[in-house]
Amino acid sequence: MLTIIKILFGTVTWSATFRLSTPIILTSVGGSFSKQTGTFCIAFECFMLSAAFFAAWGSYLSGNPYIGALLAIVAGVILAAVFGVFVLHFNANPMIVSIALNFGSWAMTTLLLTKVFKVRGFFHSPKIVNFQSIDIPILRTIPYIHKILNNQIILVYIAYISIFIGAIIMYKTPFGLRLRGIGINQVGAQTSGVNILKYKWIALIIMGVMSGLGGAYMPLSGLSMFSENMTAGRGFLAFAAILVGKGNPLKAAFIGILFAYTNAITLTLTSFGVPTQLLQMMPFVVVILVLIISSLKNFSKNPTINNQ
Amino acid sequence: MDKEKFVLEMHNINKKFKNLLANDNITFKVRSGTVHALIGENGAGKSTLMNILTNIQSPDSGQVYLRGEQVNFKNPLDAVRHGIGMVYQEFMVFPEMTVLDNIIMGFEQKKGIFIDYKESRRKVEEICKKYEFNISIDAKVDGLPVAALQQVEIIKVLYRNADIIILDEPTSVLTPQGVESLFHAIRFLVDQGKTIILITHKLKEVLEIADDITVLKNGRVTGTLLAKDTNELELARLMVGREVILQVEKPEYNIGEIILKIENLSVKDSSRVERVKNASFHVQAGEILGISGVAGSGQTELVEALVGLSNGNIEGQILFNGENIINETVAKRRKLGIGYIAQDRSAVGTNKEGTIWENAIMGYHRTKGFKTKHLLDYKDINSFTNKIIKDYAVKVQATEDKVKTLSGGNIQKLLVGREFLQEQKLLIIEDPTRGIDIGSVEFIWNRIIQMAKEGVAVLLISHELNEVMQLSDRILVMYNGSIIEHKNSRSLTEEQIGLMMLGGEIHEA
Amino acid sequence: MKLKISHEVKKTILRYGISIILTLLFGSILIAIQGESPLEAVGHIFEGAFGNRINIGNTIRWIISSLMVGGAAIVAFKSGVSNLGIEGQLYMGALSAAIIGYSIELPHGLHVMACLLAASILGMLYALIPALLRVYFKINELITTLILNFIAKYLTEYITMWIIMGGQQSANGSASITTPQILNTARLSTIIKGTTANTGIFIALGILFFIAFIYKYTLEGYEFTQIGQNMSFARMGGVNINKSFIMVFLMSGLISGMGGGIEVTGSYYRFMPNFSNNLGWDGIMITRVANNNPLAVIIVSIIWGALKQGALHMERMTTLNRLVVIIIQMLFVLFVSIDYDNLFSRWKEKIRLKKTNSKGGSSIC
Repeated sequence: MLTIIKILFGTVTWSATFRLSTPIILTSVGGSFSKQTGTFCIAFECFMLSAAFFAAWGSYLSGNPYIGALLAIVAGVILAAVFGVFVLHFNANPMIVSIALNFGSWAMTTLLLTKVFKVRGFFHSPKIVNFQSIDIPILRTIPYIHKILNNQIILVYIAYISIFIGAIIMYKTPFGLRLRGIGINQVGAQTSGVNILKYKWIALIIMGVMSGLGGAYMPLSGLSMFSENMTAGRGFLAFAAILVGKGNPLKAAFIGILFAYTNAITLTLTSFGVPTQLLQMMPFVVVILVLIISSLKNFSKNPTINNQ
Repeated sequence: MDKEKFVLEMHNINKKFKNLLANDNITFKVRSGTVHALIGENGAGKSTLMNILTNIQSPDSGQVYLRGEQVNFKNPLDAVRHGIGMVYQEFMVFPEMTVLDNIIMGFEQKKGIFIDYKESRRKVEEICKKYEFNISIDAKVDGLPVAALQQVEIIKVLYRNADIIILDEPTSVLTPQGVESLFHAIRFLVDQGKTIILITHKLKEVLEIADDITVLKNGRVTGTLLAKDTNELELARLMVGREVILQVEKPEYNIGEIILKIENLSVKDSSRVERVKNASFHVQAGEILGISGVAGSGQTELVEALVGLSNGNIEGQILFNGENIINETVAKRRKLGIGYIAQDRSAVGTNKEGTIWENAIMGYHRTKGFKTKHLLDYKDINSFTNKIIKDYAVKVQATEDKVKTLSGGNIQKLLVGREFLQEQKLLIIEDPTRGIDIGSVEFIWNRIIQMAKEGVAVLLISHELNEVMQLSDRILVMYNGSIIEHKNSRSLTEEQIGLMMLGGEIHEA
Repeated sequence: MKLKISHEVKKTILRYGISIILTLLFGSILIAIQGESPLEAVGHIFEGAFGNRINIGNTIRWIISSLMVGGAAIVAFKSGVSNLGIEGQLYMGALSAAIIGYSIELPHGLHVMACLLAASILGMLYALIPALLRVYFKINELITTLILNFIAKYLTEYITMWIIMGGQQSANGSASITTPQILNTARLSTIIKGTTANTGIFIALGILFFIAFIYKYTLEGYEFTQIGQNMSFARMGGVNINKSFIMVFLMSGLISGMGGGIEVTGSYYRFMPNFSNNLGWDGIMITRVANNNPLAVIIVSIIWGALKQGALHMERMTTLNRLVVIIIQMLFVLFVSIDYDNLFSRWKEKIRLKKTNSKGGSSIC
C-alpha cells in the first residue's frame, strides 16, 4: 500500500513528471496556436527531432547549452516555415507534407549523425553540455514541493510558464481573439480586416519556436546525447494533447502532464521488474483512454459518422 | 440628382473572370444620406461591384471616389477605415464566441497588449442605445435567431464607424415583419446621417425603402432612377429584359389518396432540444404541400426525420402509404418511393468532385444501373445520365465532367432530374431554387407542378415565401418547431402568412 | 470531350514533370555537396536495382512490400478513411504469421495460407479498434491509428521477448529479440534463386488489380468513392456510411496484416521488433504520389522498391549513405503534393494585375 502511495505521489514520480512533461508541454502549447488558426499539422516529430539534433550539435560546438537551444529554435522555425510554404502557399495536403517531413527529418538527422559525429545509432559526449539545474532559494524551504519543483533545468520552468502566457495571449489579447476567429470562420475573420495569412504564419512561427525548445530539451537535459529517432513518438503525443485540448494551451498542457505522469510512474515501476515494453506502451494507452473518456458524451447506439 | 453631393462614386469599373465579364464599365453614384438600391438578377454583377468597393476583389480598371477624393484601397481593412461597412448575406459570425467578441473582432479597444473589454463593452452598449438595438451582448451567437444575427452584423459595422453601410440581400432571411423592423432601422440610420446601399432583387421592397435605384443586368448598368418615378414593371423590364414578373400557371387537377401522413411527430436533436413539436399533417397524391417558416424553425429537423437522415431522437409516426417508416434507413425509404432534394446542393445534394454520371445515379444506384448484384452497368448509367441531361436541359460537355465545372442552375437541374425521373411517389423538396438564375427557377417550378399533375405527392419546404405561395395547394407554417395549419391557407396574404411565421394568430375575416 | 481529357492529362504531366525536375535538381545538389557525382549515383542505383538477376530479385522483394502497404493505404484514403495505422496493423500481422509459422506443423501450401490468414485476421482486428472508436465515439481515426502504431510496436516486442522468449533478454539488447525461425513449410516460395523475391508478388499484384476492379466496376466501389469525396452526399443517397466505413477499415487492415505476413513468410522467416522501419508510412506516401489511382500505385511501388534496393548498392559503391535516397524520395513526395494548377493560375493573375495596374490608374493613398 505504502509503495503504491509512494509511486503515485512520491517526489521522485512528480519530479520526473515535471521533467518528462516539458518537451510535450512546450510543443503542445506552441502547436495549440496553429491549431487555433485551423492549420492541421502532425509534423511535430520532425520539428522536435531536428531541433534535438541541432541542440546537441550547437551545444557540442559551443560548449554552451543556450547556443544549442538557440540553434534548435532556428531549426524548428525553418522546418515550420517549410511546412507553411507548402501548406499555406502551395496548397499541399498538410497530412502528406507532415508525413514526408517526419520521415525526411529522421533520415536527415540520422545522416547528419554519421556525417558530423561519424557514428551510427547514437552520439554521446560530455562536450554536449547540458543545462544546469537551477536552485531557487524560495522553493528550497518548502517541504515536499522543493524536491519536485526545485533544481530543474530552465526549460522546465519555461515550459510551465509558457502554459499561462500562452493561455493569456490566446484569451486576453486582440491577437488571440483574431487567431481563434480565423479557426472558427476564416472568411468572417477576413471581412473583419484580419490578415489571415499573416496570423497563420505567426502561429506557425510560434509553433516552430516552441517545438524547437521542446526538441532541445531531450539532448540537453542531462543525457549529453543525441540518438537516432530520439523523439520516439513524443511529437505524436504532443499532437494528441493539442487535439484533445482543442487548441486551449491549459487543456493541452494538462493532457501532456497526464502522459508524462504515466510515463513517470512506469519509470518507477521498471525497478519492480515489470517488462519495459509494457511500461513504454503505457503513455500511448493513456492517450487512447483519454480520447475515449473525453468522447464518452458522443456515444450513441445509432451512430452516424460525419465529416471531420 | 446631379446637383446633390455624392458620397461615393464608382467610375467605369471593369472586372473580368476567366470568360465572364462580371462588371462591364459600370458607373455607380450614391448620394449622401440616402438609401440606394442596387438591383439585378443573380449573376448580374452586384456582388462583384460591392466586392470591388470593399476591396475583397480588385477591379481590372476603373476609379473609386469617396467624398470627392479618389481612393485606391490596398486591402479590405482600408475600406473599413474609410467608413465603408458591409453586412453580408451569409453572416460572418463566429458561432462559439459571444456577441461582444463578434462585434469587436479585428477592431478591439486595447489596453497595452490586452483587450480592453470594459471600454469595448461601453462602446458597443452606447451604439445599441443610440440606434435602439436590443440585444444581449454577452450571449453566445450560436443560439441567436437570424434576425438577431443580422442586428449583430449591423452593430458590428456601426462599431467600426461606417457611414456607408452595404446590406447584401438583407431581407432574404427575414419574415415580412422582420423586414418591417429592418426597414425601420434603415430609416433611423439614414436619419442619423448614414448612407445605405441595399443589394436586393425584390422589387416591392426597393420601391418601399429606396430613394435611388441602380439596375444591373449582365454586368452592365441598365438604368439609374429615382424610386418615386418608377414602378415594378419598369424595374422588372430593366432587370430581366422582358416585362414579366415570375408567375406560374397552375392548372386544376384532381388530388388523390393520402401518400404521407405524419402523426404526433417529435424530433429531439443530439443535444436533446426538441426541434419538432408534435407535428401532424398529411400530403396527398397530386398535391403540393408547402411549408414556410423562418429559418431554423425546425424545418431541417423535420425533413431529416422524414428522409431518414436524423441524428436525433424521433417519436411519433411517419406513415408512408399506410406503413410506418420511422425506423427505416434512407435507402429503404428511397426504394419505397421517396425522392429528396436537399437544401444545400453543393455540400449535400451533389458531390462536386464527382463526375456527372456519379451524381446522376446516387440514391438509385442500387435499384438502377446494375447488371448483376454488385457490378455497375455503364450502359444503363450513361443512358440514364443522358436522359436527365436531355429532359432537364442540363448544359454539360460530357458525362465524365466534374460537377464543379457546372453552374448553379445546371447543378440544380441535374439534381432535380435525378429525383424526378425515378417515378417516386413522394418528393420532399427543400429550397429548390435558391441562388439560381431566373430561367432555371421557372423551369424547375414548372417541373414541380408537372410532377404533381402526374400524381406525385410533393412536400415543398422553402424559405422563399413567394415560392411557397406560387406553387402550393395548401400551405403550412412552421413556427418554433410546431406546425400551424390554417383552414383556408390559399386565401392568405403574404402579410398574414408572415404573421403566422412569427407565431401570430390570424383572425377569420 | 477530347479537349477536356487532354487538359487533365496535361495537368498530370505538368505535375509529375515539374516534380521530377525539381527533385533531380535538389537531389543532385544534395549528392554533389557530399563530393559525389549525381550521375554516377543514379547509375549505381539503377545498377543496384536492375543490374543482374540477384538485384532484380531483391528489388522485387521490396516491390512486394511497397505494393502491400500501398494497397492498404489506397483502400483507406480513397474511401475517406485516414488510416495512419498501417504500420501497427503490419506488426500485428507479422507477429501472428510468425507464431503460426513456427509453432504448428502443416503441409506446405496449407501452412503458408494459415500464416497469411492469421496475419490478415489480426491486421483486420487491430484496424477494427479505431473503426469502432470512430463510429461509436466519433474519435478521429487519425489520432487513434497513429497512437495504436506505438502500442502495436511495444506489444509485439513484449510478446516476442517475454512470452515467446520467456523473458531472457540476451546480452546484445533488443537487436536479438526475435521469434524462432518459421518452418520451411510456412515459407512462400522464392521465384528468383538466391534472393527473397517470392510468390508474394503475385498476391500483391492480385490485390491491387482487385482494388482497381472494385473501384471501377462495383457498386461498393462507387459508394466508397462517393463517401471519400463527400460523406453527406453519400448519406443523402442512402449509402450505409457506418457499414462502409467499417468495411473499408477492415479491408485496409486486412491488406496491412497480410503485408506483414508476407514480410515474415516471404523474406524474414521470423518476427523481429522494428522489422518494418516505417513501411506503413511508405504506403501512405505511395498512395498520395499515385494520386489515389490503384494502377499508378503499381508503378510507384516499382520505383519505391527499386530505390530501396538501389540505394543499398549505391551505399556500397560510393561514400553516400542510403539515407540520401530516402531524403530525395521525401523531396519528391513534397514536390508532388504541390497544387501546381492553382499556383500557376494565381501567378498568372498576379502578373496580369501588375500589368493592368502599371498601365492605368494613378493612386492617391
